Formats: sequence, C-alpha cells, structure tokens
Amino acid sequence: MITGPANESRDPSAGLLRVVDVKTHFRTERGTVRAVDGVSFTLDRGRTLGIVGESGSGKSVLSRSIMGLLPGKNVVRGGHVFYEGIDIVGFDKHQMRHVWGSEMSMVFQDPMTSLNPVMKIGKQITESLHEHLKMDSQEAADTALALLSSVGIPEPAARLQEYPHQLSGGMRQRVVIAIALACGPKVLFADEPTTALDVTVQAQILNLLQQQQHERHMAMILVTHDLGVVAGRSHEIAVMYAGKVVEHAPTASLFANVRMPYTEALLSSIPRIENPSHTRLDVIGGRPPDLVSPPPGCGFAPRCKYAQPRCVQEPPPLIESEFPGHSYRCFYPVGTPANLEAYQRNITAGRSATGLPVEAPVTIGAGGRL
Amino acid sequence: MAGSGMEHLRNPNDVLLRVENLVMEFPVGKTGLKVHAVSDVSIDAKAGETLGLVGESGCGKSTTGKAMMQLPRPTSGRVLYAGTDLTKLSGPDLRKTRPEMQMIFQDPISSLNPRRRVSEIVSEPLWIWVNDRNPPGPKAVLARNLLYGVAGIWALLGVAAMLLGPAVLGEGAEIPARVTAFLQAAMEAAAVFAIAQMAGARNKKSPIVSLAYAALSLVRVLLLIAFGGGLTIWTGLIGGASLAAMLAAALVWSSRTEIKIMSDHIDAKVRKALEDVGIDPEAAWNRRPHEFSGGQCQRICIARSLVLDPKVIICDEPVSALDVSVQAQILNLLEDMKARYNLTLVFIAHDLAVVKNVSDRVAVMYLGKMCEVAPPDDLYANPAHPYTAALLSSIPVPDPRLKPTDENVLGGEIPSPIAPPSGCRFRTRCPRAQDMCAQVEPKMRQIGLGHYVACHFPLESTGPKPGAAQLAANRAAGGVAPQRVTMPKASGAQSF
Amino acid sequence: MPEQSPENGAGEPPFSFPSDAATSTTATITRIEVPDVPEEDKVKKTLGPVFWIAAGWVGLILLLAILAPVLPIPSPTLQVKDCGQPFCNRLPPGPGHIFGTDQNARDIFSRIIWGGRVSMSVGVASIAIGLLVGSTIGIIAGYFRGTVDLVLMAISDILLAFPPLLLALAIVSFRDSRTAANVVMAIAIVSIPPIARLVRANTLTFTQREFVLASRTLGASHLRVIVKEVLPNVMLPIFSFAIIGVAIAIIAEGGLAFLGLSVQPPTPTWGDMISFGAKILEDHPHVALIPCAVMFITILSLNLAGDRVREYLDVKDSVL
Repeated sequence: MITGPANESRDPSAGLLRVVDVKTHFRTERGTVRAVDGVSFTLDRGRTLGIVGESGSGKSVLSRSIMGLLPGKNVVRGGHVFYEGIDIVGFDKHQMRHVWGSEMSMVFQDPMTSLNPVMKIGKQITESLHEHLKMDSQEAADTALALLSSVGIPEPAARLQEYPHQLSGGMRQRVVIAIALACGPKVLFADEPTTALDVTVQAQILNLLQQQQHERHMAMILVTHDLGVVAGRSHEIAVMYAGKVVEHAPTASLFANVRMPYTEALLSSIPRIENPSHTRLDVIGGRPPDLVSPPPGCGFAPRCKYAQPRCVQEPPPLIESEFPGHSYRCFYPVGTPANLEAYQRNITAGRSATGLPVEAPVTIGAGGRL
Repeated sequence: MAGSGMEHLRNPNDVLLRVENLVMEFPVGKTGLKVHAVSDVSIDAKAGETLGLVGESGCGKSTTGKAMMQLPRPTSGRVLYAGTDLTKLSGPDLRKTRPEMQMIFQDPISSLNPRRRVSEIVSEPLWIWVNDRNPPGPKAVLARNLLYGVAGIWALLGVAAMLLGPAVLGEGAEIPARVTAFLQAAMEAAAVFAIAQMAGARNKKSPIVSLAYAALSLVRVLLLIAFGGGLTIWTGLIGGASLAAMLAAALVWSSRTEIKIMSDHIDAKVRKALEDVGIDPEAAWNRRPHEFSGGQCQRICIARSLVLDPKVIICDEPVSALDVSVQAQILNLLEDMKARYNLTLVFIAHDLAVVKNVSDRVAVMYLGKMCEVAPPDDLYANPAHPYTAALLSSIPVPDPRLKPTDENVLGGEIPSPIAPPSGCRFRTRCPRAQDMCAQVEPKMRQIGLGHYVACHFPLESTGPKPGAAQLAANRAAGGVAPQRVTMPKASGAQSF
Repeated sequence: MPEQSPENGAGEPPFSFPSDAATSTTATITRIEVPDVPEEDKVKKTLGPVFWIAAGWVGLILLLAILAPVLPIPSPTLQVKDCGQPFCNRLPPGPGHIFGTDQNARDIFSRIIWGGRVSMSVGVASIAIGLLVGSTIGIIAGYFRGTVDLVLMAISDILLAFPPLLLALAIVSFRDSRTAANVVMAIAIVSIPPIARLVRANTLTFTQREFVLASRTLGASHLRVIVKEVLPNVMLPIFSFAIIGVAIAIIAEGGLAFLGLSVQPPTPTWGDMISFGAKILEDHPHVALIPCAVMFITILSLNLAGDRVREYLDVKDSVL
C-alpha cells in the first residue's frame, strides 16, 4: 500500500477524520496538565498517519481524545473532531457507542489487559457483531471464524473456544486486531500495538495491520515511540513533543528534510544497526518540560543545541515549509541558513540561549571509539 | 541452531568469566513438568570485554545473566569467575564475591526502594561491606562483648526465675509472676543481643541506640530501688546488668568519631559515584526515587553498582524501559563507566541495534540455547544462523526507503520451553530446516575468525554482504534505496 | 581503556576504601551532562482537616483517659448523692452531671472517661501485641516462602476458621480472672492471623520487586534485606491499618463487655455501660445512647484517621 507523499489528501473539506485544535487538559492536585495542547490534522481512507513521541508527549492521550475514551472526571477538552463532517467531541457515552467499533476502533498496547480473561475468544468477537451489526448467532460465529483466519490465526475454529491466557502474546494481539476489525471500522487506532511483543512477532503484527488496512481501505493511526516502526509503514508522520505536534510531514519528506531540531535529535539518538559497534550516540540532554507549567517559549528550547533568545520568549507557530505538506514548529529550522547561523553562534558562546553546553562536533558522523 | 558445544570458548586462562554447560530448569507447579529455561549454554568474557547476549523473550538470556550471579543457582553447569567455580561456593563464600560482580536491572524504578533516599540507596552497598572491609576497633569489640554478657545475664535470670521462683524474685512469687518474669527476661535478652550486634558493627545509629538502652537501664534501676520489693537476686542482677549496659554505651559513644569519619568517607565516595553518572549529588542527596525520571533512576542504579568497584557488571535489559533519547544517554554512560572503572560488561538485551552498539562479542540465543557467537560487526554483516538473519531483517529501520516486506518475516512464535523441539530448537520456524535438524542437535563450530555458529545448514558468507555495512555505505553516498538484509530462501541442503 | 585498575583496598586499616577509581580519565571520556533534578512537587501532600478533627477527638479521649485520676470528676463506681434528691439514679443530662447518671446513680460522664481508659488501653495494647507477632510471622512467611510459609499460613488458616468473637470468648472464659490483661490477650490472639495475612501479602509483592534482588546482589544478608528494604515498605501501610485495627479491637472489647466477659464490674467499660443501659433503654435512653455515641464517634474517628494516613503514606513509585 504505502505510496508517495500524502499532500493530495490534505483537503480539510473532504477529510474522513478532521481533527481541529484538540486540547486535553487534566486537572490534578499539582495543577492543570496540558497533555494535548492544540493538535490538528486530517486523515482520509486508505491513509496511515504515524504519531511518534516519547513517553509523556501526549501521543496516547491524543488518540484516546479523538476516540472519546477519556475519564469522565477532571478532564478539560477543547477543539473539534469531525468524523465525516460531524463533530463527535460533544457526543455522550451513548452516542459514542455507535461510533466505537463500527466507525472507529482501537488496538491497545497490551493484549492481555485489553482482552477479558474470563470470556472465550469467540464470545468476545461475536459480542460486538450482535451489538452493532445485529447479526444472529450463526452469522456472527461464521464472521468470527472468517475474521480469525483473516488475521492469520491457525486453527481458528478451535481458538474460538479458548480463553486469552491459552494464547501466546502475538496470537492475543491478533485476536485484539480481529475484534477491532469485526464491525468494519473506517478508522483504526493502533496505540503502541507491538511494544509488548518480540521483534519477530512485531514484524508479523505490523505486516498484518498494514495488509488489513489496505484490504479494508481504512484510515489508520499508528501511535508509537519507535520511528523505525512508522518509517516504512505510514504515509505521513506527526512528531509530538510536550503535547504539541512539532513536525508533521509526509514520511519520505520527514526523513529527507528534517526541519525540527527535536526530530533531528531523536533520529540521531537511535542506535543504528548499520553503524559499527561502539559508535558514540548523540544524546538529547535534559528532560521534557513539565506539562503543568510549560515554558513560555518553545518546549524543546531547554534541550536544543540551536536555542536562541527568541525561542525562550515566544512559542513557535506551526510553519509550512517549502516542501508540500511539511510543517514544523521552529524559528531556526534544521537545514536552513538561520539554523546554521544559530548553531555557529551557540558554538562560539559554548552554550545555547537556555544554558545547554554546545560543543563543536569533532568529526562529522560522530566518532567511533574502537 | 539452538545448539550446544563449547568450541567457541577461549582459553580459560584468558577469560574473566566463563560459563560452562549451564542448565536452568524450573518446575511447573506440582505437575512434574519442567521449564527448560537454559539448556547447556556455554559462553565466556575476557576482562574489559563487553559480551552481548541477545534474543527474544523466553530465550533464556536473562536467566543466564542471573545464573552468572547465582540468583538462583543453576541446575547444573559451572560458572567460573577468575578461575573460581561460583556454583560450588558456600553461601558465605559466595557473598564475598558479590562486590566483584554487580547487576543492573531492566526496570530502574522497581530496582530502587521507594522509601529510601538517594544517598541511602547509593551508600547501602558500602555500609553492607563496611565491617567486612574494616574490622571493628577494640572499643567496639569490648562494648559488644559486655553487651553479650548482659544478654547472657538476662537469659540466666529468666530461666532462674522460672525454675526457682521465690528464691530469685522475692517472697510470694506465684506461677503467673514467674512466667511474666521469664517472658520479660527473654525479651530483654533478645533486645540486648540485637543491640550488641549493632554496637560491634560500624553503624551510624549504634551510639544512639546504645545510649538509649543505657538510659532505659538507668531508669529501671532507679525504679527498682524506689519501688522494688527489697533486694533480691533478681533486682541485684538487673542492677548489675544495667551498669554493664551503661558502660558499653559509653564505649560505643566514645567511638562515634570513628564512625563519623567512616561515614564521611562513604559519603564522599557516594558523591563521586553520583557525579560520575551525571547526577548532581547536592540536589539529589535527600530525594526519593519517585522524584526522578526513568533515565535518572537508571543512573542512580548504575552509581549504586559502581560504588563497590566491581569487576563485572551484568546489565539485564538496562535500557528497555527507557525512551530512545534517554536510552542513548544510558548507553553512552555505560561505555564511559566501562572505560573509567575498567569493567567487564555482560549486556543482555532484545534490541539488536543496542547490543551491537555496546558489545565486543555478541551471542545470539534462542529457546535456552546458543545460536551464534561472533564479533558484532561480523555478525551483523554476515549472519550465519538463519535465526540471526531473521532477527536482523525484522528490525524496524528508521528509513522510509526500506520498505518492510512479508518475505523475510519469520513465521510462527517461540515454542513452549516446557517441551522444546527435538534436535535443533529453531527448526520449527526455520526456513532452511531439513529432516536432519529434528534428529541431530547442531554443535557450535567455527566458520570465521571468532565467528561460531550452531547450525547444520548455515547461511554462506561471501565477502561483503548486501547487509548492514553496504547499507551504511549506500546511505552515505545518498544513492539508490538500499536493500534490506535478506535471508536466502531454503532450497535444499545446498550449503555444503 | 584506562590502565589504572581500582585497587581493592580490603586490608588497609583503619579506614580503607577501594581507592577512588578514575581520578584521571582518558581523552575518550567526555563530561556527562548533569540532568536537572525535578523541582519539589508544587503541592505538598497534607493530611487534611478531616484527619485533624478525627485525630483531635481520639487525642482528647486519650488525654481524658490518661488524666482520669486527677480530673475533678466523681468516682465512676460510687453513687452520687449531691443532686438534692433521695435517689440520684437515672438523672437526665443536666448542669450537675452533664451526661446524667445511670441506674446505680453513678456519673455517666465520669464512667465514660474511666471506661475510655479500659477501651483505649485494651484497643491499643492488643493491636500492638497482634502487630508485633502478626507482622513477624507475616514477614517471615512472605520473605522466605516455601515450607515456612506453608506451615505458618496453615496455622493462621486454622485460627481464621473460628469466628473471631467466639474465639475471643473461648480464650477469655478459659482464663479464670477477668482482668484487662486477659481481654488484651484474647483480642491480640484473634488479631494475629489477619495481620499476618496482610503483612505476608504485602511482603510477597515487595519481595518480588527488583530492589530486593538488587540488595541481595550487593551482598546484604537476609536480615538486612528484611530490615532495610522490606520492613519500611511493608510496615508503613500496616501502620495505617493498625489505627483501624484499634477501632476493631475497641468494638471487640465492647462486644465482650456486652456479653459480660470483659473486665470485671464495677470497673467501667464502654461495652459494659451500653449493656447496662440497654435494660432501661425505653425510659432512659441516655444511659445507653451516650456511651454508644462516644464509642461511635471514636471508632469513626479512628477509621477516618487510618484512611487518611494510608493515603498520606502512599508513596508514588514513579512520575512517569
């Protein structure tokens, strides 16, 4: 499925899913946590959006906000989620029930906790078929069987009579996917679907998700902390940091023309299999900002080697780059003369505007030590 | 794969750590079945080397790491550390080797006690060993012996009160009074014994505890004199015991400067270790683990394992629970600490890229068996074992030009370790498996310089592969999209 | 790799430490950036007003109970004669005797204070003993597991199989004299199995945590691991349970007294007062209801305080 850049889908009037300035704040005893702070994007059928971020970046809260799966208390929601033109943010639990499963569904990280341990797998699948599609028992059972074989479970008929604990981790995640797909959703959220799985099984599950998305012509949102997972499997990628999307681009453009210093730093801190052993890794110093009292300027400024006084004073807006569909939040984007100049200034000063020590790189491509 | 054999082991005199034919089996409830977690694994590590153990969950890599520490002791096999077989050591002797071998765990937050402060956590190892490394001074020994005497007096008093009654307790002591006196004396004896242990050891709190006990003794003697039923053996001996306790307390109190100096030495060492791992000691000193992020907790764990100046550190998935940006910090830190403290590392992880980054030698494990042992660059460029190749090809690469495909993805999942497959344990998922693989277990054999594989039909190594090295070169040249590491399809036993 | 290997200074008396490794470093080592340490949490955890009101009530009862002998109150066992009538029994609450008097013309206010002395001391003492024995058993069973656990838990299962009040009754009636010590003993024995169970369960979860394993790899003895690593984690939650336990013990004492098996009359206890007053509940409800109310408020206060302490002591494992 994966095709080229995704800019032709970025038409706000025709989107299957249009997310406009979604905000999710949690009231805690420490203050208001701005978990998601103004995220917008559109997504069409057949497209995959990868949402990448570290823990605490708000990526999981974002997908839950769109799905309306937030706790009822102490949550402040803002913005709009247009699903086929209807704003579903105001929907109550009863209305959302018609959306969940049949329109949007979700695959969670841990298959063991998202399955009911005391219910047979067959029953867990047919339940939503009865509920949403009003199927009779025989029809539902046949559909469940077809679903299980479509997600690559061997001996599906026998599995219907088993309990989740009798299956391996990968098989459980396949069952979760089958349940998510049961009512033919148009949008599939996969929230870290492979984090709990081994690398060989991860590849199987990612391939399965990709194949199912292609066959069913769904829109898919793949939430992950691993850029490697989304690199080959998404049309576009949104990088989240401190509750905001800091860079949003078609996948190929993101990797080829990184603009946001955070994305650049993230990419260079991943150990690469193709680099020789003992290659020194680039690190991102410091830690993400406190979401209760975020800094007034750019959230990444305290950890950014390019930071300038302006970065501390005002938050950068989402800026469109010269590449179609590629936007970022940075005053001194990577790969531009402004960035180079800022970097030179910081190297000369020995520190960034936020006090982060900045040294000139010794050799390009980081020095291997052995 | 998944084979046995010891051909890959080097000369025992050259290595610091050597595991021979390690077997770990755990019973499954009371069923009589056994989990074959590790079956006949051998591996070694030279001093200053980083040994990477890699494999998927259930391959026995963590169990192997813990077995090196004798936690728990292996079912069979030998673990040689500097020529000593740890599996044969008695409990106390094994404990003496603990400072030499340390361990870092996967979950940094779970491996720090949430109720203790950072300074206590990092100084704990030094306090554990302070008495072994610095025998107590003469005053402390005298105080301890005095208190042992007091405990003895109490024990004797208790027995005497029980047996002799009025003769000890004074006129009119009935059975309930005897029993009460016995219980009281027994409790006193136990308490004094515990205080004696503390007084004879280098412990920050021992002067306070000893003094508090002495004060209590004084009060008790005064009360006895004021309200006691006349002078009996009981009151007389309690008075004597109290005086001895006060003398002991004075001795312990006078040695508190000694403990203070020791405590300052330990604090200095803790500060140094915290600084080395990039934690500001002043800011962190009195904080508790929950105030730190996962990466900082892992730094604290590393500091704790470093204060004893170990020779070997076994890192059990030290970065798996961390974010990528933090993971890079910890990996760099481990490399620095390895150089600075002259360490030998055993690095256990499921992420091949991470293992490659830190290791000098990589061992790939599958279902309790060793598959392939090689220097990392060679292993990743020329994987000989089909499982290694499959693992390499299933790594998600952060490069959109490499389209993941179905063809190289390994099918199926790891079989149950309760009833592992016969012969080669990988054969049930191996695209190259033949009949022979089910019958004969492959042994480790050499296929290159330092490169060993346990497979009947290994992948051929023909010079530079269209693999990782090539891929890097292509990327650097900015040329056409490079190919993924591909695993040649099985087409019979053509490899020979 | 630097050549200077840390010498293992095992022998140099009197204070030898392994030498500070790496005072000099090689060029490959760069200064590691010092990550900032998080600021103090903005909001300090507090116990809240509910706790202080509850603790204030319990403190007041304790204070009055302790000071009972020196307070200017009538004797709890002697009849009052200062009401200006021939018989001063069953006086309603009023200015002279703020809670009135009972059938035997004894001052109820005084009896409540003296009764609190028995109730509180029985509650605290029995739970203290139960805690000492129960948590020792629980920690040993939970830490070592295996056969020790099997035997200890089998014994506690047997004890748990008896209804607790019946067991306490049996223990009290087995002993001849109905002294406070015997009541304490009975309630303490009854409280041991549940406390041991609770401590064992807590110990089990903490023993599986990696910091216990880490302590073992550092060379700590079992005793040190239990005292330094397991005990602080297990005992703080148990401490809040103990506060609630005192409430349960006071109820148990009341139950025993109601059945006439607590401390020998005329020594007042709350349970005994309720039992005594219940006989004239219809005509003179205050005789039974006032001790009822005091006991109710005390137990409610203990429960609330215990709950708040539990929340207060609950340590976050992580901020992630």
